[in-house]
Amino acid sequence: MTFNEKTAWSACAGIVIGLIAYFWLVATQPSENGHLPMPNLMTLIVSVSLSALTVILPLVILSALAPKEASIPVDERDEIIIGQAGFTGSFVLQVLLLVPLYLLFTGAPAATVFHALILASSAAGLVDYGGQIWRYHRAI
Amino acid sequence: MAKRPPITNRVRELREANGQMSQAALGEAIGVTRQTVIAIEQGKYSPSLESAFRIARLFGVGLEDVFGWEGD
Repeated sequence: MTFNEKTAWSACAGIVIGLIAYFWLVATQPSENGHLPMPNLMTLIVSVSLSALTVILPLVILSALAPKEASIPVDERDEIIIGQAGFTGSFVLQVLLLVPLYLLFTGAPAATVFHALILASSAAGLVDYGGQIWRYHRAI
Repeated sequence: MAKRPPITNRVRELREANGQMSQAALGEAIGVTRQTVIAIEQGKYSPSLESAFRIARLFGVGLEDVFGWEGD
């Protein structure tokens, strides 16, 4: 497994952990009319910090354990894989952004639009990094 | 399952004939990772023209001695 693939795995884990933390914290906040409430600042700080830690911490440990592997620059195959997965991720993001846009124009609560935005960006990130892992496994 | 490119290669054969050169050493010599060398040897990835030339020059052979078209 290349260091870049390990990076993709930790990014996926970071997105999932951040998403779980976000919705768990939002769900525990008092709600009105049965809708999920708008996240408070602490919810955002905690979920983003957890997500960042999940991504960065394993990479710091892996880099310390195998510094030579971590210092290898991306090669031509890595570049193709990152490019293709990034293209798919951007496409998915553009399509999924139509959901919060639709919610916005149909008069949904602002909190629901915000949650939809968080979900859309997280899903696009998962498609991007998940796509990298998938491509690494099928060689390209 | 990914569609395999119709390009064959003798990279593994040449590498082993070259003093049992490791995949990591070949990768380092041509500027790709060991995993990319593995993918090339398994025929799952066709290297760029630049890398193909680097491989051929490293083993002191022509491009057509390393790579071929399936069926030829």
